[in-house]
Amino acid sequence: MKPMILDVDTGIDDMMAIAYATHSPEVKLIGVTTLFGNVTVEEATRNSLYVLELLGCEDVPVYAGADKPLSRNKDAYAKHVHGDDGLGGALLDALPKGRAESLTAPQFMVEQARRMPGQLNIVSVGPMTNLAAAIRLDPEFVSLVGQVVIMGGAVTVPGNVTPHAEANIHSDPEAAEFVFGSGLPIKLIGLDVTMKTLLPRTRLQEWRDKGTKMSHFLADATDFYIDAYERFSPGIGGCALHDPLAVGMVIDPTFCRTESMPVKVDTEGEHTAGQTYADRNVVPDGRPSIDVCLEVDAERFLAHFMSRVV
Amino acid sequence: MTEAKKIIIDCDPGHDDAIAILLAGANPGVELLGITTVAGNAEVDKTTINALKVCEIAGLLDTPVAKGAPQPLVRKRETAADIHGDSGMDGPILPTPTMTMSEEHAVDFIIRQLLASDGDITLVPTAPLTNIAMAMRKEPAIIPKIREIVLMGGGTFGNWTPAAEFNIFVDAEAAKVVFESGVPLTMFGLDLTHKAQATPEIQERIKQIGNPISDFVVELLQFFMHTYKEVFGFEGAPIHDACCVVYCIDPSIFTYRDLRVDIETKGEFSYGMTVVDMLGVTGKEPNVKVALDLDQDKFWQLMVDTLSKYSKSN
Repeated sequence: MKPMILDVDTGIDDMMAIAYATHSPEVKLIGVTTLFGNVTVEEATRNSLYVLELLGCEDVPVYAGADKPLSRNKDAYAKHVHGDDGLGGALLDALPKGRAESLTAPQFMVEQARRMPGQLNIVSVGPMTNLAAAIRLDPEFVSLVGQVVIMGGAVTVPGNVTPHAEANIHSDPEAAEFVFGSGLPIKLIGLDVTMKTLLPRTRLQEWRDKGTKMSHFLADATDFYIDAYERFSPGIGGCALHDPLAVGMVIDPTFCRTESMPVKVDTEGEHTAGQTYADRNVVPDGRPSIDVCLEVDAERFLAHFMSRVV
Repeated sequence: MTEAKKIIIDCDPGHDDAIAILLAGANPGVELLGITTVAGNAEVDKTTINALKVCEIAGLLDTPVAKGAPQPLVRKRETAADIHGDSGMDGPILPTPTMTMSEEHAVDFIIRQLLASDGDITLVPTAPLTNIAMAMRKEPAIIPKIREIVLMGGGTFGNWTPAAEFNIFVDAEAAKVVFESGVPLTMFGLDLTHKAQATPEIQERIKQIGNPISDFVVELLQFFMHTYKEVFGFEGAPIHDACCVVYCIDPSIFTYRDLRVDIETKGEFSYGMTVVDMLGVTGKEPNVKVALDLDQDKFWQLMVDTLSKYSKSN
């Protein structure tokens, strides 16, 4: 079993990623780390704890991390996409029984990376602020981690919060630029592939048919999420499986075809901050390459995800 | 027949600028009130001489040519000698013009024409937007007088940097002024103009016209095709600037989308980019009509028909 930390800003598709990971025997979820992003870090921690309890995984510890970007202000959250509670309103004022551990998210990442050199999988599906902090906390972190799978960016396609920027990168461009150039062994799952892995609304009935509290909760939240997709892209008929695909790439790396290239992030532009640039066909400047996913076997992934998530 | 559309071409000839002038000079669909020049493909003294040469060979002897800004508003000047040659219009050899340029500065010419108009003048900038921005800043009263700005520039990709097209890159601050002015804008960016490629077959059709102007156009296209092949690997010559004039004559040749376009002036990699909101993610109101496709048959037929209007013995 591959040891995995999920770094989340839970979030509806974060919830799907957590459920998918806990139901997959190939991976062992050793902890969930949280940060701001879709919602505040407090909400992300609450939601993560609640979802783990719904899944019967109270034993998976949760560690809270960054409450804001490295050097920017954060005042707007993605409530229009993920709901006021971050879970499409499905939470209905429920609260988790458990609470976050005392270590911070970056401390936990560093501790686990030291405990199992070369073995740890970190799946980052929020802004890259916790990762950046972990690298700063322990300079050897970069060489101790097995792999980092990041949901973020739009290397060859348009963005989803500005014309060229994807939300996780846009939330903390400085962190992303630092992490991509850090030498961490990164697989980048961007909108290039995640917008091709659509979950059709018609499949939600399968979750409701399953009849568990979790499966109903997930279906209700996802209905809200798909409503948001319909507002932005009328007729789309579903939602993208951004965060689950990042988990999927740990379970089975053949879901996506990757290409190795240095990726830079715009940190200065008024309209382009957070844009991810593939530095192809350019004179090498020593920047490390990362593996960028450019094609996905969407049908096979969707089938796998649906067979596991509830 | 509808009334000819009054236009001022603000340009930096430039091979494709020259073709734009030649189309405007002969097509009854437009009335060319004047030509203003700016630094762009080459220094402004060169682009002005080139504009005069084109007017003279085309017999546009009464068309005012007013010289404008020698450099961008803020940034250092940058020219495109690798594409247009050192003169800005290398290739054809034309006689030194006897026509002289107007004594009026381009910016003042634009302001005077607009203020005196009934709001029926279309500006056609096919160069960096320095003159247009300067005119808007010098006399804001012209802004509501401009019927439409039909510009060549920008796109969803670049040709000068990966992000930026040359005209916008050279003076992005000026472009920002123009794009935020509120004037109706129609943008012919690279997404469109790269589809307007004069292939060797098209060039042969133009050659068959057999007048001095068509011969001149073929010479322009041959030089331009050569540099585009060398620099970009193209098989034809994209006649970017001419698209704007074709639009003024017959807008039904193109298809468009109303989109939000912002000009990036700060990014290290993205300076001069037209940030086009193709998916509507910004939530901002569209401010530009972006041309995205064209009817090839109608486009080249209009080109051939218009160039055929020049006499056999000019």
